[in-house]
Amino acid sequence: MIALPHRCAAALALLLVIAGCRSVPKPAAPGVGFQLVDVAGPLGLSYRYDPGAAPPLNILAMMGGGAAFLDYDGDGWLDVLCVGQPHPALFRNEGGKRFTDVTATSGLARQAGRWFGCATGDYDNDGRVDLFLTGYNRSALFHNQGDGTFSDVTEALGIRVPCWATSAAFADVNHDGRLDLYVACYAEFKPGMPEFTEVQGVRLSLGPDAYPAQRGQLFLNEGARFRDATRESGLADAHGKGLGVAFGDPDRDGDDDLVIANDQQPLDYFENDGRGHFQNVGLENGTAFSSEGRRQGGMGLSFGDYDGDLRPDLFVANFADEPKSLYHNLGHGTYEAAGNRAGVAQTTRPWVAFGTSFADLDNDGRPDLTLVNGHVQDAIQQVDRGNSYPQRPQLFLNSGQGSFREVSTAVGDDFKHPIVGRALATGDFDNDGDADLLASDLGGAPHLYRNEGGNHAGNWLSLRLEGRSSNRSAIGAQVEVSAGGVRQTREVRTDGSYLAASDPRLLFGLGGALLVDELTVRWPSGKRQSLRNIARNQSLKLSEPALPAHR
Amino acid sequence: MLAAWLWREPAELAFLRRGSLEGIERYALSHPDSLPGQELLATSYLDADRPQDAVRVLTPLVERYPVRPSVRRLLGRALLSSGDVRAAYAHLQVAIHDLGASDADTLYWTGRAEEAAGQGDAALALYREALQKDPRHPALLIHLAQVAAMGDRYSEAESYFRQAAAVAPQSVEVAAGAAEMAFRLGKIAEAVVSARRAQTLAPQDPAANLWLGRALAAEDAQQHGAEAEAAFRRSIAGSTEKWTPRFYLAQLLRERGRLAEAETELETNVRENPLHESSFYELSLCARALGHTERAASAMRRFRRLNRLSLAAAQLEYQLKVSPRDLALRLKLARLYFRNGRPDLARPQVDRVLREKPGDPQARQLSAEIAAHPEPTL
Repeated sequence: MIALPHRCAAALALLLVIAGCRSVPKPAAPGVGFQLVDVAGPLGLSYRYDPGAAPPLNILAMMGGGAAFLDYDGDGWLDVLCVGQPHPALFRNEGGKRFTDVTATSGLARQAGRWFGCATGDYDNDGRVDLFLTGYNRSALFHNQGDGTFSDVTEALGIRVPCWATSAAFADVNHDGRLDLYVACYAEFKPGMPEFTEVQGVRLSLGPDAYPAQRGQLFLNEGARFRDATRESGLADAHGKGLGVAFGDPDRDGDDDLVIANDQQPLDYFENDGRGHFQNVGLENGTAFSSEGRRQGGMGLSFGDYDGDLRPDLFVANFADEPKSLYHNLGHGTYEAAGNRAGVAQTTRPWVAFGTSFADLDNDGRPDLTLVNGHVQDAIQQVDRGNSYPQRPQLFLNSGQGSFREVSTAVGDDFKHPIVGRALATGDFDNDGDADLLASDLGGAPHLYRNEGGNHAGNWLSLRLEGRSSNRSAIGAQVEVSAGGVRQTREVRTDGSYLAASDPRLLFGLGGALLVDELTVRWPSGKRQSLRNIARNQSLKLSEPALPAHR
Repeated sequence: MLAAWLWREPAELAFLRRGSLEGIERYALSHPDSLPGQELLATSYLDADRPQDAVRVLTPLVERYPVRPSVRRLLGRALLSSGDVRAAYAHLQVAIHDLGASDADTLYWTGRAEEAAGQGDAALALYREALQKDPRHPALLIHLAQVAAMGDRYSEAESYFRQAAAVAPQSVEVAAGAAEMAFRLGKIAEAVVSARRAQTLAPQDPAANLWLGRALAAEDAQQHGAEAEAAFRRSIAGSTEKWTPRFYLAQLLRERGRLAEAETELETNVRENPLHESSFYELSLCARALGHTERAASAMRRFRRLNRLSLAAAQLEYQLKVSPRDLALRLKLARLYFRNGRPDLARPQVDRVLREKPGDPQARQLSAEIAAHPEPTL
């Protein structure tokens, strides 16, 4: 274990205040404890998510774009990637104080394409985070060269994704210590196909039912190459029209299962047998359909143990007039729809939700729930006056006992502002010990909602894991923390949400606890590691020990 | 003396309107030459959902009063309600174009005929014109709300229901519709209020009770569980299609931990309606949670079969909504339904093709096959 002096804990915070680099946190609304302030513009995230077409937007133009937090230069500060067209844009984080556009020098400016989403992970275990971009008929794997540039290694490594790819995710599905890649594909949309219908004289885009489904692909990382293993893995059984993907180990059997949120198709829940063979059990385990027994317009999704029973639950963001789905993990491979009981089904019902995340924004040790919303039809207000294209994001604070309360309008004016929300990534970009949010806004600029006060609302512990016999990104590692009598569990992931990649570090909110009594890591290799009596409010780097595996 | 006066002049009709249908029938029979009396009888038949009887009264009336727009409008409405769209449309067109009728009611019913003929835009233009003439036309406001709701435009539907509530505060349909829209827009407290109002107006009304149950269950299934359950049970009692409220009742029971009762309700549902897909899915989950492995597996098998068809059909249905005149596509959908054991769903599609293209050999052949095997076998 290496305990790093946290770069910007007390000392840096003091420096920043002295230098006037950031404002003193505004007083939070009663009972909330923090504010979300959009600092994208002031900190230099100058990017516009271009739909690539003039209104009315067709189905291809309405679905982007992506967003990621990643530390591409390994300096300990999360950089920001905006994914869209004509090319993605990369912004280097200068110590949490500003962002510099490094798109040109990174080589990404030359990568023209109709890009949608992204996945991040160190596929070649060289210690540098690599990048996979999804797009319309072009998806690409970019190797991080370590000098601030990326090179396109897609063809060289045997990856071919001839579909409209949306979200993607890295995970080691067969426990060989190398990150494999799943790419979700959406629908077959080609020039010449019908694009619009007319409602009350207003042109609206056709929905997903107008187009044949495309199914995603699994690429197994064999070291020198990736191999398309979709069919042999059983993932060809996916329903198609995938929009959100997340790996997770909610049954705690030590391997990564895969969940795909599909648009107007049943959700796919693939259980991994530990050798990279998957079986779709969504129908049997109760996650395939909504609480009303209907197929949903599944968009983004997120795993999180919202009720503290140490079993990750699943939240799925979906279309308007659909209760957003919270599936409570009952254990034994079954889930129950718990959205009504938890207070997140009806309050989210009218909105079109895309990106979502379980991140503990007030550091109380309970994951909160964030959604970014935005209608797909840019002219929706012309046919449905009370509806709107931009919609406000939503935040639900976890109040314990398995329920949430909506505080969307109590965390500052910036979060009240409606956006055409699509991707949502989480990460602590200013290393101050609370989770910040990055959202894409189709037709607008990205939103970087800085969490102001979360680190004062509760103590915290930040963990960065590095695998040795496991994949170096430690994706799939499970960490259990016990502090102040509360136990929490989290997994190292960058996937989930919609078209997004998040901070791979784990940020545990500790509430009022002064000490982490015990921390246990279960590495993807099966090795276990325990630490005791860890001080609060610090960042730790944990490396996988060279111990025998206990699989 | 008083009775004799009442049976004679228009004032007596006003009185009759508040009375029974039998009274109106007696009056019309004894006053065959009274145009207001015959029109009142036809209107009463329509209000009582007896359009064929209205057609029987109105057909000779049109011959006697060929230039009277109100008779044409009523006959058009009656024919439309009987399913004879073409004839309805013809009479309503005569009323508008030849007889110069421009009242909101005639425009509204002509719009309904256009809509029934698949002319959505023309219908909408007529509704807009009708609304300009009479912004307080209750039937028009309710219909506009329903059309908006069917198009998933819930805010618009809510607005129309609100306007309708202002002119027809005693309408159960309006209050229940408002409850549904509030529910769909996530305004659960408002949904509860509207549903309670609807249920107060008509305590046994199935729609009012369904939305009351759903809104209460969504607001707090534990706190309002008993009231929601009672509402669902009233809705079941009053519904012809009992499986919808019973499905939600089962969900409520399951959420309250009464799994065995939920399973029983779902068993009843799938017995009464072996095509109710959602009930098979719920039943499978419920049975599995109860450890009834075989029952769970059997329900899931059945669900999978139904679901395969509904997923395939949903795409074609959607494409047809976009291109309603694509007869080849409609025939494809009809074939999909028929080949998968759903002649009941295939039949309306084939009928529509034959209405548009009566001689179509493929449609005629499929129609004959459906006639030979009309019962669902899925």
